[in-house]
Order: sequence, then C-alpha cells, then structure tokens
Amino acid sequence: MDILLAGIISGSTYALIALGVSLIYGVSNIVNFAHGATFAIGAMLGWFVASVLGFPLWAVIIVVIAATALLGWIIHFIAIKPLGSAPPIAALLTTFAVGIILDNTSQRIFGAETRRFPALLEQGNLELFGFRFGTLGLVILGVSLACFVALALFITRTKYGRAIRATAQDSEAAQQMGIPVARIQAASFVIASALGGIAGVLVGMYYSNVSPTIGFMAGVQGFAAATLGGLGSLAGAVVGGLILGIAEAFGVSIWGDSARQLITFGVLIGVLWIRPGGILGRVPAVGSEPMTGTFFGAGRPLTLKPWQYAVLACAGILLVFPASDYILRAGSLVWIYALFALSLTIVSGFAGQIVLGQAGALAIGAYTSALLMTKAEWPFVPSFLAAGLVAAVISVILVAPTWRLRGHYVSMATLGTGAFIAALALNLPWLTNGARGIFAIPRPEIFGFEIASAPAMYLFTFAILVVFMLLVGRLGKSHLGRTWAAVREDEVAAASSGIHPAAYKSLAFGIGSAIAGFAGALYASQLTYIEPAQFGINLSVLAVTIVVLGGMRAPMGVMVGALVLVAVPEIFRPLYEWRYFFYGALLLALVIFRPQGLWARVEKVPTWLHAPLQRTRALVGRNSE
Amino acid sequence: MTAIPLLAVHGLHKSFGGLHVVDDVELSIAEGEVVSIIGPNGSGKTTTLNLISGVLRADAGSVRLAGTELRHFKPHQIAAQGLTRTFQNGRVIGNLTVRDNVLVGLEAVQRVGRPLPALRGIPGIRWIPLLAETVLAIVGTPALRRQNVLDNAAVDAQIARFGERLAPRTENFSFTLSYANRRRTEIARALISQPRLLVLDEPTAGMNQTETAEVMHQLLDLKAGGQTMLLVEHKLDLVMTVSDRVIVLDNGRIIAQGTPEQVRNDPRVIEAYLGKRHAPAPDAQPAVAQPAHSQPTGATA
Amino acid sequence: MTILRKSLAVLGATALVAGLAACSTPTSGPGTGAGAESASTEPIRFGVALPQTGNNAQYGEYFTQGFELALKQLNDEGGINGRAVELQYEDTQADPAQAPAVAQKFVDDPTILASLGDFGTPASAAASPIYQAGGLVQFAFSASASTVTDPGDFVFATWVSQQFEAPRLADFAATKGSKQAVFFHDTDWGADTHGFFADRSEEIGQGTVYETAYDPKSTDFRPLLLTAAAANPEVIVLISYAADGALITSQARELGIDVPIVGISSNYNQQFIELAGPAAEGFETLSYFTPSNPDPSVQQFVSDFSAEYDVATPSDYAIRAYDALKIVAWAAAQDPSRDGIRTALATGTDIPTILYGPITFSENRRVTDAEQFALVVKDGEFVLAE
Repeated sequence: MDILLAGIISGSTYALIALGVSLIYGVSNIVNFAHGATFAIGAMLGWFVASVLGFPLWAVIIVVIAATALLGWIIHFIAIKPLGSAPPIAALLTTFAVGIILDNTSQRIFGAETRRFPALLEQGNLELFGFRFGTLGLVILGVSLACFVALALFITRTKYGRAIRATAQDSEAAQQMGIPVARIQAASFVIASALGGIAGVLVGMYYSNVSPTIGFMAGVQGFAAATLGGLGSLAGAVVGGLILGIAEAFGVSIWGDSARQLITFGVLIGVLWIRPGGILGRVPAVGSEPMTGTFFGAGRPLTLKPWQYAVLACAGILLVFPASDYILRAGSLVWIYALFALSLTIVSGFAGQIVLGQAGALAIGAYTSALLMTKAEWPFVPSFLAAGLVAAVISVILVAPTWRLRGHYVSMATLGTGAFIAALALNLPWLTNGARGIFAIPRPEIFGFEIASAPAMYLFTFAILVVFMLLVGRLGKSHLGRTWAAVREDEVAAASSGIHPAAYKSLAFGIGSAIAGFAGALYASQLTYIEPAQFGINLSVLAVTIVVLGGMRAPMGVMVGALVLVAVPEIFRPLYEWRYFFYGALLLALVIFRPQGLWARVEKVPTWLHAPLQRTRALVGRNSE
Repeated sequence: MTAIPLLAVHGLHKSFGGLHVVDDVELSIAEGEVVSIIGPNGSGKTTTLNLISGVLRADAGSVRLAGTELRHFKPHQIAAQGLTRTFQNGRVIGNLTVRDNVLVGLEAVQRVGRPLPALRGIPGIRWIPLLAETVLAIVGTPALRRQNVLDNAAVDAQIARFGERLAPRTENFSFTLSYANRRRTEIARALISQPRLLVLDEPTAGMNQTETAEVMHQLLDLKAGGQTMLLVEHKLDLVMTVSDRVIVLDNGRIIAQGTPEQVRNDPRVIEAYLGKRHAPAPDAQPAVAQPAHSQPTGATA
Repeated sequence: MTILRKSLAVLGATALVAGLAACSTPTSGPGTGAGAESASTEPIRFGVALPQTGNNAQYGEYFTQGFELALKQLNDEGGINGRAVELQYEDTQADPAQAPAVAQKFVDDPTILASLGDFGTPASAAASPIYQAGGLVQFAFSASASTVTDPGDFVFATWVSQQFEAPRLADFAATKGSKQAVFFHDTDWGADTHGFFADRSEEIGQGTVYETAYDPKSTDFRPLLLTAAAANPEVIVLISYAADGALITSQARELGIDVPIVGISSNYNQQFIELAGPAAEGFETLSYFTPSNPDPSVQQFVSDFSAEYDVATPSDYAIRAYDALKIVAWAAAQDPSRDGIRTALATGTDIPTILYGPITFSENRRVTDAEQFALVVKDGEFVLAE
C-alpha cells in the first residue's frame, strides 16, 4: 500500500513534467528536449530563493514560475521561431542544444554540488485506511492534479484555449483563420515551462536533494510518460505519468533499483507495441494526404568530383605526419563516432526514420566484440564481424514492431529500445559483468599487427570509415536509395506502388545497426574499457546530431558532422568549464543557420514551399464548399 | 462482360467512430471496362478507393481482383497483384526526380535485382531476399545494368504519353513541378507496371480546362488500349465521355448506377447533387436532365 | 558557380584538417620525458584529468579544492627542489570516451611529468593503456576497482582495496544489529565493495534480510526503503557516496524507519550532513580520516583547509586529491623525470599522507591497508564515536 502511494506521488511528478511535454508537442509538434533542463533550473532556482534568500514557499513558487515562464518564452524565441518551416528534427536539435546551454549555465551559476532543498512545509504524517500520507506527498499530488485541471479548463473553456486547440489541429488552417500561430506556440512554451518549473520545486521538496544535472533524466522520464499516455493528450500525460510511477515503484521494490530504467523503457516499448498511439492517443486511420509533400529537409547533398574526394581522402591520411598523437587519438574517436553516425545516414537520411536509440546497437557491438575477445579469446577480425551481426539481429528484433509507428513515436520507441539495451547490459552481470564493466579489451590486431599507437589507430579507423562510406554511398545511389526515398517521403504512396514500407525500413535499420555494431567494436578497442553507463541516451542523440548537422543525405555528412561535434569540445578546451556551454551555443547557431546540414547546398525554401501551399489551400477551399 | 469480373466488390463497409462512411458498397468491373464513381463531397468515393487499394482496412466485405481476395492484403501486396492507383492530391516523392518517381512504380513488378520474391511475404525469412537485394545493389550485376537501361526506356515511354508537358522535366525534382505535372507523374508511376486495374482518384483536380481535356484524351487512349480503369472524378463531362458505367454514391451508399446516360437522368442523382427541392416528381424524369448535367460540371472541381 | 562552390568545399575541408593539425602542440612527437629534467629552472608540471562539466562536475570541484590547497602550499614552500609546480587541468566529464585523448595530450607534452586522475574507475581505466604505453605515471587516486592497476607499472592507485575496508564495515554493522539491510551503488565500485562485504557478513553469520543495488543518480528511494522496512532490519548499511547516502538516510527517517544507519568511508563528507539535515544525526561511518586525529600534520591540514575554504571539514574527495598531489610531488622531489617519479613511487617507503598516514605502495602499486576510525554525526558534525 505504501509502495502504491509512493508510486502515485512520484508518478504525479512525472505527470507534471509530461504535461509540459505533451502541451508543446500538441501545439507545435515538437519534442522539447530542453524541458528537462527547464525543470532543473526551476529546482535549482527554487533552492537558491528558498535556501540562500530564505523566501517562503509562496514567494518561491511565484519567482520560479515567473523565471521559468520567461525561460520558456526565450527558448521559443531563440530555438523554435528562427527555424520557420525547417523539419521537426531541427527543433529537436535546437532544444537539445538549449538544454546543454541551460544545464551548463546552471552549473556555473549555482555550482555543481548537490544541494539540500529546504522543506518549506510542515512535515506531518497522517494515517488513513492503512495509507500513510506525508503532507508533502498530498501537496504534490494535489498540485499536479490542480495543474492538470486548470490547464484542461483553460484549453477547453477559454478563447485562448480554443486558439491553442485550433493551432494544435492544423496550424496552417489556424494561421489562415487569423490566429497568431507563432504567439500561440510561444504561449505553449511559456505555460509548459512554468509547469516544468513548478515540478522542479515540488520534486526538490519531495526528494530534498537537487543538483543542476537532474534535468536530463527527468526530461526523458517526462517524454516516456507523455508518449505512454499519448503525445499531445493532456489526460494521457497524467495517466502515463501515474502508470510509469506506479510501475516503477512496484518494479523497483521487487527487482531493485537497477531495474528502474528497464521498467521505464520496457513499459514504454510494450505499450507502443500494443497501442502505437499511446494509451489515450489515437493514430489517425489514414494520415491526411500531404498537401505540400513531406519534403523532409530541403538540403540536397553537395557532390564532388572523384578527384576532389581523393584529395580529401589523402588529406585525411596525410594528417598523420603533421599531427601530434593527441590529435590522432582524438581523430580516431572522431572517425569512430562518424562511423556510428553513418548508421543513421541510412536509417534517417535515406529511409527517413529518426532513430534515437542507436547507442543500443553501439553497445551491443561493443559488448559482443569485447566479450568475444576477452572471454572467448577470439581474434579481432571475427569479433568485429560478429559485433555488426549481433547488433543488427538484436536491434532488428527489438525494434521490429516499431515500424508500424509514425514520426515522433518511432523516435520515442527507439529511444526506449536503446535505453532498454543499456539497462539490460547493467542487469545481466553474468554476461556483461554488469556495472563493473569489462577491462583490458585488446586493441585491434590484423594480420599479426597490433594497432595500438595513435597513428595506427587513426589510420585504421579512417580506413574503415571510408570503406563504409563508399558502401553506403553506393547503396544510396542504387535503386534501394530510391525505394527508401519513397518510403521516407510518402509511405502510403510508396506502398501503393508496391513497396513494403516496414520491410525496407527494417532493412535500413538492420544495415544501420550493423554499422553501429562495427563502430561499437572499434569503440571498445579504442577505450579498452566499457561499462553500461557509457551507452546512454546522450550518445544516441549525439549520433543524430552528427548526422543532421553534417547533412543526412550523403555519407560525407557524417565526416563533417563528427569533425565539428566531436572535435569542437576538444578545440574548446581552453574555455575550461565553459566549453560545453559554448558547444551548445555553437550547435544552436549551426542548426538555426543551416537546418539542412553543413554538407548540403542551400536551397531557398519559400520558392517551392509557398507557391504549391497556396495553390493547394485554394483548391481545398474550393473543394469543401 | 466475362464470367469472372476483374474486380468484384461485395458488401464493403467502413465506419469512422460510428459514422458509416462506406455502407454496403457492391461493384464489379469487367476486363477492359472503365467505371467511374461520382457523388457529392463526403459521399465516400475516396474512402471506397482507399478500401479497394488497401490503404484503409474494411470493416466488412470482400474485394476480389480476378478472383483473388484482397481484403487482408496490404497496399504493396495489392499493387503486386496488379492494382495501382493515384491519389487525390498528387502524391509524388518530392525529393526524387520525375524519372525516379516513375521508376518507383516498377517496384511492384520488377524482379531483376530483387531475388526470391516468394519469400518476401514471410516475416523473418524475408531478410534473405532483402539482404540479397542489398548485396546485388552494392555489387551491381550486368543483368541489373541491362535492366536499368530497359527501365529507363519504359519511363521515357510513359512520359511521352503526355507529349511535351512532362518530357522536358524528366530529370527535375518533382517538388519543382506544377500541380498538373505532379498528377501526370503520378499517372505514369501507376501505369509503368502495366497494371490490370488502374485506379484514379480525381486525376484532373486542380487542372484548367485545357489540361483536363488533355487528360481526357489520354484516358481515352488508355481505354482504347484495353486498360481497365476505376475512376473517381468530379468533372462530369469527363466522366460521361470516358466511362462505360457510372456508380453514384451518396452518404456511403450506392444510390444509382448504369451507363452514363442512365445515371444522368436518374432523379436520385439529381437530388443528391442539388438537394430535394430540385428533385423532380417521379413522373417528370426527362425534364431536368439538362441542368443535372451542366450544373455539377461547372460548380464542382 | 557550382564548381567554385565545390572547390571552396574541398578547400574548406582541407583547411579544417590543416587547422586541426596546427592545433597540435608545437613540440609534437612522442615525449619520453627524458629531456625535460635538464632545464632545472623550468616549472614542474603535472596533468590533472577530472570532470569539470557534466554529471560528475561536483566531484571535480572537490578535487580542485584539494589540489589548489596542496599546490599553494608546495609553491609557498619554494616548489620542488626550487622549481615551481604547475597543474594543467583537463576536463573529461569522467567520460571514458574522452579520457584517452586527454591522456594522449599529457603523454605528448614532455613538460608534464605525471598525471593525476580521473574521477572513478571507468575514465581512469580507459586512459591507463595510453599512459602505460607513453611511460607517464597515472596516479589514479580516485579509482577503486581491484583491476585498476593491471594495465602496467605506470599506474598507481591510492584507494585502499575494498577487500580490507568492506569486511571491516561488515564487522562494524554486526555490532549495531544482527539483521541488516544493505544498499549499494550499482557501479563497478559498489559491486566490488558489496562483494567483499557480503562474503564477510556470511563468514561472521550476520543476517542479511534485504539487499539492493541502486543507481547513484536515482532520487526516489522510498519503494526500496519500504520493501526493506518490511523485512524488519536492525541496521541499514550504505555502500554509497555522500550525496545519495544522505538522500537514502533522510528518506528513511521520513518514512519512520529509525534503526541505526552505517555507511562506508566515502560518506565522510560535510555534504552528507548538509543534505540529510537533521536526519543525519546518529549516522555512523568508518573513515580513514578524522579531524580529531591528534597527528600534527592532520591538524595542520584541517586548519589550512578551513582557512582556505568556507567548509567545516574537508571532504573525502578533497583529501584524496590533496594527498595525490603531495605524493606525486614527493616522488618528483626524488627525481623530477617521468621514469624517476615512477621509480620513486614504486620503491619509496612511508610516503606521508593525510588520509592514511605514511604509506608504502605494494607490489601491485596500491595502498594495502590503513587504520579506520568510527565516526558518528552529532550536532551536525562528524565526531569520533565512543
């Protein structure tokens, strides 16, 4: 009984975070990765105002609401508004960048230390029907429900709420009806962020400890809850949050805390398998026919002449001579991440599926190769090949039911799958050595040569990357590239032309996972030590970031993207503890100015988007008379 | 009419949230026949096409193509059976060239470079043909190269159907196309696999009169070549000219069918299109034939 | 137009590569460190790999406190044999993927004579092969895994192997009650420690009614505590760090669980008391360090530390970092070269430390064992238990 109650209370905090996620998703069709950071800012600011300035609870809440609401407006202004009609993935990346900036700012302002959040309320224990109530728990439950009810009333009963609903249903139509869509979207960010701030204060009070980095995990749990309930549904957010909280509480009390992520993401994947739209969400029976074509990313990759590619390849090889071992050591990591991201060139760039769980495939590859080399004493080459194979097989099986899903649900389901795989690595100690990790993974050895020195490792990873880039490039130019493009841009039209979308999505994902598995084997040999915590959601997001920033339609994109994203933190070392702040800022700027990727020609969006848009609008208008 | 119709639809039902959008629709199309479905907006025409082509799953009923039950088939399987279609709003693949768009239509029938098609329907086992296809795509066999030449010639032949309208834009990306050219590209994509039944959903929507007339001639050419077609169209001039038979839907039910001449004079049709007060008394049939014909042609599009 | 743009792209990419190459240190090439000792007025430099950003940044802050105090004292005393001491901090986020490059950076730089860090075993272990191959001492003062010094003779570790500390904690817990509930980190360190702990508990016949691993980043321990409470333990054992240990303690008290709670030495941190608040009262731990240790060097350290920082008592992490720099400086005073430091560490005896007292590295370059004190939280302070 007590466990149920603990689950309900922690579930209601998830629900509060999920409400914000769902609201923004509903209105703008954006998964806001900065939401967790907003929550963490709310918690830290609450701590500061309450503990350092000594404000009472009501003042704390007012200050936090005001600050996070303003923050929400700023996030919308700098990360969403400038994107215009760029594809939704761009918003995912800009909000992720804002999250990095916020987390690092908060660490610099409030310090990195974990802080004690003052209680602010009389702690009392009541006992009723065998339930033990903490007053605090009651307050949290009450506030969450009150927020939900207030938000629901606001949206169903007020004029502003009607505008929000109209925007949620069809932002273009709403725009035509004279609803200021940009302002409505900004308002949704303001409201959602304020909710996140309140959640930060409540969670701070309930758990009594806060630190600037609590946001990311909380945000992910919020996404999981919102997706579970049905993205865009407010009631779904509450239901999803409660289910997740209760499932975690019981699961953790039975199997222990290590199983927490296994439960969170297991429940998420399981529900999406059974109900692709979440518990209260609906999947439209037939997606509205794309009016302007779903032109996913306008950027067309740059193409070079063969000699130009050859020059680049030579430059890559010749770097060995002038560069120090440090550059080369960092360089081989760049190429390994590039290979990792190359898996998404196929899955996301070619086949159009935004997969947020590729760290799972990387982990399987790394573990397969590491275990084969250390425990079974296999040589490197067969271990490397097995890594790709095993990664592909396991990933494909786990993700197979996902291909019925659309859009963000694919992203969330794969995010869940990736996190689930990392959680498995932690929970199967007999196989993976669990949290202890695997030590002393041998360096690659080919034809009797051990590849351990920095230049050797650099050249080896570069060569493997180039080979796979050539293969992927060739696939992209083959008829398969065309087939994937059809699936990517219009699944229904592709299916009606005789293409089996699920089979080809799965094929792309399988090939991609094999590549990620190969990258995993290299990763294990580069680090010589792996443990489950390395393969977190951050790594999956990094892969997506690399491929989007570089340009997802051509293999060259991953080289450019990885050079920027993996090398920049190294180059920013002189900035010391500010380097990730500037990394976030650079990422934000790049995505805003080049949403189509760096390795792409810039095409003017308005010319092709606006004319057909207006024409179809006019047409539809006439048709529906 | 032959003994077994090419397409036979029985008792087709579909409802969305309690609303019967398609209610007990029956239709059959013989080999070489052109059948049109007309009806007011929201009468269930497009839904019927979506049910037949597998884009939507029917609640009840059967759809047979040359005797094969399609009801539990997915769209790509139906396409492989020889039923291809176009969409109301011209669903081209924006980031592919016109040529590639049309080539996509060949996936329904192309076997070269896509080995072991029989295994594709089996979950799990389908990885064998898929991986074989991947390997062949990377390696690029001579057979594949020869086939590519043939396929490209087939594309040119399809595009030539539209004269100089589409041919100069063959290598352009299809998002740069005009609305009419998107429809042409789509028709070419549906035709290149030489389907037994071509399903067209408002092929002239958004076209001006000249363009509509062109499409009409192209459809007549197809008909002359023996192509079986199922057509949803608002422009009654075109429907009446091209069709062998016309089926009229209203509120998801078939309210009339027959030759264009019969339908044109059917009072229930006139009522459905114009509302009750225009409906003639049952005994005054011929008198309103003219307005029924001209009014919808002009007013709807 | 397009040709121009393509050429620009090629040029740009080549420039990027060239730029990267230019970023390399001017004195490139594998440094053996042998050349650095000749210039005797040059400062002696050590590399520090630590988390300055990311989830573990707070531990980097504790380390920096210890390092900066030790550095200040060293230079105030005239440096090492008259040469000033400098530290080069590099942020790794304690991320194993970033650690190798930083290790290579230190190895490449011939002015760096030894490296300190990283936080925890994972990032340290990922860097070890590079230090070993480069012949630079990796002084892994915060890595606890039993295998951490395996990569070779240039890797040293000061964390006393859990095989000594954990059994003592088991004995200590047995004096508080005969049925225990055990919470341990789901990390390499937690799993190792718990292993030795559980073996000893079994040996002495101590009953374990509940045990669970947990993620140190978790915030809600109520489901675990409620399940533990249902098993009626007489003592709760925390194999935790201070932040999460405090969280468990305060949530346990809030749920009305009032049995004694004992924790392993890493809970010795003022942060524990700050975070747990009144719930910290009565919490007991075995610590290598106690501010009431009469040793004059310890007393000197305590007063220096509180003069420098506004903290009641230095944290375990800060002490370890302070000791690490002092030990490496001690070795550099014997022979200021990369090899010399290694040899001095390996052969030196009774090297002075604050945490353990005088230490001597064992055959496998670890600290074997040291005395521990039972401390209890009383009136918001860690004091020696009776």
